[in-house]
Amino acid sequence: MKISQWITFGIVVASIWGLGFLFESNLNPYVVRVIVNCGIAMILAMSLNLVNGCAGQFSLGHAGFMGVGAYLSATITTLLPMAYPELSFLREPLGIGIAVVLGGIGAGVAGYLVGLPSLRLRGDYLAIVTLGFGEIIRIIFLNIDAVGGPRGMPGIPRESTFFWVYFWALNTFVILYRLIKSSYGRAILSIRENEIAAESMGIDIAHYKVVAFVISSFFAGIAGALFAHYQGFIDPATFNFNRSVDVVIMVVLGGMGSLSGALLGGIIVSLLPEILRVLEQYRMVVFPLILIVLMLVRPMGLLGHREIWDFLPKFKRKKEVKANG
Amino acid sequence: MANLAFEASGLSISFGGLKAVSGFNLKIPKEGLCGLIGPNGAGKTTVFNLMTGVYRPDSGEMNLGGKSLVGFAPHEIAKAGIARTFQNIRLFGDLSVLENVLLSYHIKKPYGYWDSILRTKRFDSKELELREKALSLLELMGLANRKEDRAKNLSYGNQRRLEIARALALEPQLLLLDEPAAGLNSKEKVDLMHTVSEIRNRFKVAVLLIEHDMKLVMGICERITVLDHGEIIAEGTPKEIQENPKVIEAYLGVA
Amino acid sequence: MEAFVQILINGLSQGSVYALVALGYTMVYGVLQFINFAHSDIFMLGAFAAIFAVPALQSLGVTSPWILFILTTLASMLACIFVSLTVERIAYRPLRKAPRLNVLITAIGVSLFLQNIVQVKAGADPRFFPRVIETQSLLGGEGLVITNIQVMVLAVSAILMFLLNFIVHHTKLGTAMRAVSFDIEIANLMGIPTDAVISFTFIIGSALAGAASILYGLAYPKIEPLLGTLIGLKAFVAAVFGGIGSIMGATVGGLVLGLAEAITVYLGASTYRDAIAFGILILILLVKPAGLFGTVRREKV
Repeated sequence: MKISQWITFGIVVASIWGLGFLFESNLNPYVVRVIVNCGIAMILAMSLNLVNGCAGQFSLGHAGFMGVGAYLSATITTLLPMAYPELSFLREPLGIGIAVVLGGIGAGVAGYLVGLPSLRLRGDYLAIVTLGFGEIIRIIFLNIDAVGGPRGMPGIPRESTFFWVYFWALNTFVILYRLIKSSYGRAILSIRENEIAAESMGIDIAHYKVVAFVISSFFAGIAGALFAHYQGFIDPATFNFNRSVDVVIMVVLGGMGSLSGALLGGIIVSLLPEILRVLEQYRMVVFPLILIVLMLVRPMGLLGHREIWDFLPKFKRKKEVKANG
Repeated sequence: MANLAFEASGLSISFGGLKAVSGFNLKIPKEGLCGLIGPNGAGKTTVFNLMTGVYRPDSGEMNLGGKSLVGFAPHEIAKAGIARTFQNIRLFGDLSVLENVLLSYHIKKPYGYWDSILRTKRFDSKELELREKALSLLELMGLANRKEDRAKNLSYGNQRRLEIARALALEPQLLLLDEPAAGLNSKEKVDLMHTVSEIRNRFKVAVLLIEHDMKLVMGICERITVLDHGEIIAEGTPKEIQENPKVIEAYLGVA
Repeated sequence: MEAFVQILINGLSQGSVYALVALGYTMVYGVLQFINFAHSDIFMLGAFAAIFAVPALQSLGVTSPWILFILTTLASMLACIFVSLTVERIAYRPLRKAPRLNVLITAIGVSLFLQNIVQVKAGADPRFFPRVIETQSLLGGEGLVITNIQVMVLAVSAILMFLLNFIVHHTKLGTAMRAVSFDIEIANLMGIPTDAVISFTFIIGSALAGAASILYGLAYPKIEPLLGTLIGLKAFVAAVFGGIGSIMGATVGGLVLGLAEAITVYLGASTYRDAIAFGILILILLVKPAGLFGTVRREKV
């Protein structure tokens, strides 16, 4: 990376910190909560987009990986220090940061274990298997008393501030964007476009499906860990099929394959219940309807495969200059 | 054999009791331009699929430059050096023309994951290099001015050309073209003939093509194998094939 | 010996219910090549329809348990057919040519919609299926318990499956269904009214689900809006295990699953009963995704 890019990155991070400070001091805590959850949703949507949108594989178990990240990181920061007081540093921001990353890695490993056998399967079968695995993960947590079983795990240090969540959202965006706009990204996209042609052009599609799955699960785990350390409490019911469907709606709404679409989808799905407060009871009736209508009327979602900057004229001209230069 | 690009012997495959191809033999000399013809349903594309690992032969041997390819998966065969185009065009529709070609360079692993994420110097220089290579291929195929277009939006003829460019980007030793002239008009076919010859000469690649257009096949192929009902019924130079009574019978039936 | 017969009766009667629901999945997959996620919720609707139908029928003066049973079953089947046809018309038919993924997402949407609308309108609390027919032990004795309900389940299922087999193999409709399963484009070109055939497939599938819901409700009276999820998953596993698209497969799959569960309970591991379905699913998808009687559809390269 060039120095100028590092500087830009630094400025953006500083702005996030600034915004966080502003929001947390001045806004109603409920509003801050919505905004933070929105950030977590964005990470979930961007990560699922890699599998569903870019690789063209249909995963319905994203919540399971979120759960792995949540439980693993929470175990490290909450249960370990309880059992071993010497490890109380794990409740400090640095320790939590490490736990969040470990949560992501754990989720990535889970993604590998689930993905390896499943990704040979065709579309609808894959959907069912990932649904099944998502449920199995949830049931496993339900049955481990050490992490609280059905009662859940309280007392998680609540250190996920606006800054940390959006800092991670920024990282997720940059990493996924750069990955997609690289040779690896092309390999993954080719799977979606035409598996047989991709194979004939030398792409080991089984391998890259798993790669997409693992990376996606990693970030889902990060999101889960951040979520756990924001809520202060987690239970297996939080990471159920409904949550997986929520993320699917975000990705489909924004446009499968579009990173900025995933961001948009995450924002809309997070804010919609707030804007339509009156629909609270009917939320899970309206959301599926949105999904159905979307599939009938605009299956490519808001942005389709494109990114939002593809539509801005200034950027378009810049791109043309670059392309012809 | 040092002067053979590719050799197959005794390749056979059956589908549910039906012998689709049996006892297929082929010798393609280095930089040779060969043709595979036969009536519809003769098994030509099946042969391609066997050669590219899409199907695994029930029996027989095949090797590329001496290295056996039996049991290889399609992506391994591509890495070994065989590239192909498809009878029913299989482009990466939503990707740009340039991206379709760029994908093929992935088999040589230009850089690693960290390079991509951190946008290292290696990434930048390699991407530039690949883009230049891809662009020159596109120029050769007359597609350079459409490089940012979505592949699915290209005209039929251009889509066929793109498939060839994409296959060439793999820098193969053997190029398989499955009915490259299908759907082209006579001018486009003549252009194709020139293009295929030029490709063979410039890239030093052996070419095997399946075609129905006899003028094209007889025009550029040095050796032709004729398939009917999964079996070879003739093999030789264009002149020999044209005069072979069995070939005439297979295509036209007994008078 | 006694245990063997007990397992057989328990397994087969439970398995018959799974098989009836599995048939719906498999037939729709056969003609449309997609998994109708919403099928399990049609089943749930059938049970709820019965819950409302019984008091209504009783207030109309129907008292005989057998007549009540038959009319309730018909009511349930009709409700299922109605909802199923509506869904097919509105949500699935427009997507006939769309990528399979889109239809799958739509089906998930329909499934969630049905679950939640019932939850909102009827409340999430479980209700109790009307005791139309009292459970009676037929064969007493030490260990062996066979109830009249179980016998009924077996009998009714057998009749329905026999009817289905007759329709599929000995009527024009059945031949048309099989043709559409094989290749819808060609069937269309051959003059088969594919839309009508597909509608009929949905009708038959949901009728079977409706009947299954009554049989299920008589044996397990606790009914809730999320009922479809577990039963649906098990029936789906049964269909996949037998080979999705294959009617024989769905039947065999359902019965095998029922027996597997019965054996698990007998061995004392009843907490794992529900997990057996997951286990079978993952096993079959890893070993032979096409299922016992399924065929792999080759894509032309």
